[in-house]
Amino acid sequence: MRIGLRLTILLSLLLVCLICFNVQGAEKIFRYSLRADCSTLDPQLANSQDTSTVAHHIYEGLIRYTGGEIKPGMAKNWEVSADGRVYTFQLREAKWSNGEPVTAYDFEYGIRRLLDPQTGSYYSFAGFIIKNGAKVNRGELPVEELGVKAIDAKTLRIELEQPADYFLAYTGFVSFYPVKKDYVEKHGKEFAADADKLLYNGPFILKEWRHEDRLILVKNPDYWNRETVKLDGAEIIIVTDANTAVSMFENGILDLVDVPTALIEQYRDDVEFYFSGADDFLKYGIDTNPYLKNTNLRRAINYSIDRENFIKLTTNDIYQAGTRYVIPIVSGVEKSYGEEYPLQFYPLKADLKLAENYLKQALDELGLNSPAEIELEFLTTDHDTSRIQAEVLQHMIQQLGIKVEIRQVTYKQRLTMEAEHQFDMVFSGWAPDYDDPLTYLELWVSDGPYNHGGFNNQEYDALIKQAIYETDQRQRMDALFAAEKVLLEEAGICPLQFRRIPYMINPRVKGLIRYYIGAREDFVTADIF
Amino acid sequence: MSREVISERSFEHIGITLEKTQEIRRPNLTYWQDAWRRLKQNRVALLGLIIIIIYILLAIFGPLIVSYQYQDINPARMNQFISKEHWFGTDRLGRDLWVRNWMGARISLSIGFIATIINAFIGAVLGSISGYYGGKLDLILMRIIDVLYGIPYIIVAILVMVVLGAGIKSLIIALVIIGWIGSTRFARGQVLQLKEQDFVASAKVLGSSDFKIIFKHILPNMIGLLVTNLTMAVPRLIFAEAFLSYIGIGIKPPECSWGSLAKAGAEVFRVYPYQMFIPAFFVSTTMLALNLLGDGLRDALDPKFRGLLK
Amino acid sequence: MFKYLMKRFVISILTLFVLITVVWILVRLVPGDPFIGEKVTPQIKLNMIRYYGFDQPLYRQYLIYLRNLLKGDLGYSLKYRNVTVNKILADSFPYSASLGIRSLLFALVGGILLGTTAAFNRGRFLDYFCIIIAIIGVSVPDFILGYLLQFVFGIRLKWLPVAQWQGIKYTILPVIGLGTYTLAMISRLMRTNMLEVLQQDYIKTAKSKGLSTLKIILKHQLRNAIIPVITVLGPTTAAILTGTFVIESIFSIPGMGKYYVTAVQNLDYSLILGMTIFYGFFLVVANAIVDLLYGIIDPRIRIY
Repeated sequence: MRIGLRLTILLSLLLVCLICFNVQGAEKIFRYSLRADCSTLDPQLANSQDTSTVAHHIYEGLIRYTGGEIKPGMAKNWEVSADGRVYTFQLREAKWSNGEPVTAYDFEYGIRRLLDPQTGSYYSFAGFIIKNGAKVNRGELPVEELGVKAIDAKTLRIELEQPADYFLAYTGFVSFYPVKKDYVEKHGKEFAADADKLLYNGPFILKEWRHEDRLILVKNPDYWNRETVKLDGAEIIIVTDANTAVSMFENGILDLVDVPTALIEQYRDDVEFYFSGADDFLKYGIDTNPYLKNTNLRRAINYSIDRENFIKLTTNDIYQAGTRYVIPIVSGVEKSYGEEYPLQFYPLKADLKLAENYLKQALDELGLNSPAEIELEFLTTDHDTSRIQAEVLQHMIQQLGIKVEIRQVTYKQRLTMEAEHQFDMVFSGWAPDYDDPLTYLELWVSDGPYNHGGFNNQEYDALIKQAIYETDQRQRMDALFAAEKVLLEEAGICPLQFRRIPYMINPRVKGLIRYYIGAREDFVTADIF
Repeated sequence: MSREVISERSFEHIGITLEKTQEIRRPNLTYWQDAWRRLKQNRVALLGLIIIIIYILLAIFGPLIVSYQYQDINPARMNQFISKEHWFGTDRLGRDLWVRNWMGARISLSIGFIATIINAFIGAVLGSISGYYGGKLDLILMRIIDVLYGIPYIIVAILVMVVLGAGIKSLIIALVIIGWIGSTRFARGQVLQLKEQDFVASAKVLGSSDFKIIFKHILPNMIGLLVTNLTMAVPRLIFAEAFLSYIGIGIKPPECSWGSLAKAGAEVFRVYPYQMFIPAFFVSTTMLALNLLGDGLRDALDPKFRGLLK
Repeated sequence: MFKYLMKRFVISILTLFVLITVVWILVRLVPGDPFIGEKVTPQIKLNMIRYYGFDQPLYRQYLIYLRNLLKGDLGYSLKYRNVTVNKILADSFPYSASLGIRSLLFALVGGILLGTTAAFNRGRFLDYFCIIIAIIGVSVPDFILGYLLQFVFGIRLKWLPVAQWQGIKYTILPVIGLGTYTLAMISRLMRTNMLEVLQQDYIKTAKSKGLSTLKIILKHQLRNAIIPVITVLGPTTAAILTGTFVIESIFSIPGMGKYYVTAVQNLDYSLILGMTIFYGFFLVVANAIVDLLYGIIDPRIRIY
């Protein structure tokens, strides 16, 4: 009798548990994971792709940049002056999540804030294209002198230092999002610390931000374009261990997961790829190493690299070999840059004969008898993957008879050494900020702040300058292409690979866009069936 | 009533000589021989000892019996399972794991032992001076130890590692920082006990210098317990090294220790679990063996020992 | 008693002070630059340095830090720009505390039960079984155990969730992973002490008086055998605390441990300092309580 009663209670409890766990809300919630929490959701302080991707969904800038396309955002239309320097935006009627209207003053304040040295923003350089941007950031001019002006509550005027085709798309970037001045000042340092210390004007609202645990987004009922938003919400879970994330995907907890290269073998048939836009190359310490000053030596090294093999050995064929410098998927004038300006500058496999030729010339010019007299240090980070890259490249370069030593340091140390010009060759790379070849090419002007190798070529500088000030789009693109060729001919760097990221996605999810600029995963118009 | 006369005829002379009085019926065991005998009887502890010896031998000779070097990358053979060519398989860079496991053993074991011995040395010196002389010196040292004892050592060790950079020397320094206090306290406690004993008093009366007393009388009597303590301390330090390497601030590739190998294995754990299980197995069995041996030593060296497991 | 408390208090404060200073110095000595980044230019770096007050001379930074500390202000994290260290601690501590307390209870209860069972069944199968469990528990490092548990029960068998902390079933694997080492240690201690106590005269006296075994355990043995367990509680808390670093990473639990490791890797000065001070404070208090308990439970023992 007693047993029977106990059993019944037990069974009913089990039943209740089962019901609770099985009843999924008919809600459409998109779930994915991040390796690390967003360091901040303050638009002007955002400095990582994780943050800008989340920001893309909870805020909206002047335009909305989706998968390479520009669509109206807070601005319903805009005009560009004939010289390409002045943009005038007309804002639509839109509200912040606290009911107050989004105004041009909010944009003015936000962009000023970006450049204000007191904000200490890591991404302030994004605003240097705006008139007086760099000077304001150096403290040489007050923020009011910045080329951003709110003519009235619905009209915003931005003046640039020089015409820039890519600027319009750039306004969709998180650094240029609007913020309400009185709201920021009211919260002071606490602004953006939590979900309830932020205002939203995007497709979703951040309902809850449990730090290092998860971000919970829900559809914004006041979003001006809410008909295009099909999801009810999203959940972004912070999972530091890549293995765990993959397990969670397989158990149905996550809808999207990036597959770490180490695990690719097991999932090769299930993954899709997207280009992350990251471009890896060897940087040469041209201004510090007496051997690398010689252009022919650098050319020799560049031609000695078997890029096809490099990709196979170090990335399991996941990445794409970099036989040119600018990633082809970047936008050209009408089509992609790669379609309009195809180029395979370096052969997929090495060209040892050509390399030896250049080497001989280099030795003559340097007054050396044998390549063994040249010793170069290869700098890279202290991860295992970096090690294998270093050793494979070392092996290839040493075919020429040059001695290569590998030195591994921590990531931060490597960056510091690069910044202080303390390297011979370093395995480096660049991630794009906007959709234009210039984002990759502007690095190598002789006075560029990121030109840590000291590449100095007048023709290159001239071409870049021309591209910056040119108003004709086609001529501009031609100049950029010419610059790319100069960089490769002069072996300013040694291009290696373009990164592709393998990922798995729940087949019931449709409409997720992964793009290399802007939101890395864009689920604004995604849907779950 | 008759009285028995106890005469000399009642007794038989069986021949008592000087030699016979000094005949030894049972072998005379020293403290050490007695301890060893007891230890041998403890089969579990013996097993522990044998395991350690085997591992040490393998650590020395293991890498030598195959042709691979621990740092040789071979991209053609990445992530291969156990096979005839690679007895423990290969890791994600194609390095042979048999060699790496035993090179790792060299590092883990030697770091564990070296750091422990350094600790013991520091502890013995500080502890015996402090315990023997007592007085103000002792008081000050104990106060300092009190203050330092509360500090969470792993945390300081982590920071020290980050400052000094990864590597064997920094690890040893960090591990010594973790352990010297416990060993000093232990030594001091022992000296306090021993100095009250008679043999010390008689040595003093006979005019031995303090130095001699400490080093010739007290310390040798501590060695038994000291060795036991050492054996118990080594696994803790091996574990600490594994932990620090695991969170990425101990040994870095291409150098290897069991901890860093376990970490590398953990990164591909889902698909290639053997890469973590192998170093994990060896670390665990080493610590197991040392614990068993330590238990056995403790029982053998002082069967009445009521020591606290620290 | 009061004198003892005062002494403890003063020593604890000194300890904390030394800890803070040592850590502050170490953190500043770490090579590398918290503000370095792929796209940081010297001007940007300068702005960030000014924002955080790092352009002041070192000794002033130290004093400012101490002053803020006394006010309870631990500053802002370098990485999480708008979030105070206090808030991070407040958000993450409950998770770690929950994990830690459960693990401690698991270890205590399990350890005592295991040790007692072994002692009472000395020489028989149950004894050996318990000993084996204990020995294995002491030997397998917690991060390995954590991965093992996750792999076997979460991935292969799929009985329990792989990660996160959202309900009772999420707690099982992490708690086992974290608490097993301590459980093993405690059970060995308990067994040894129980065995000794069992042989004492007063036990035989009680038995001869006809008391049942259970009563004997409860009234006599437990109290005496527990004393060494209390001694171990100090370092045990420390062990569980450091164990959280790894277990929280493996199981994606948003506790302090996970923050701490990332903070060290990111050179987030204020967060490292703040968390270390918090840990230090916590352990110092824990040790003090343990010493107190020790003194209360067994007045024979001189608290030196």
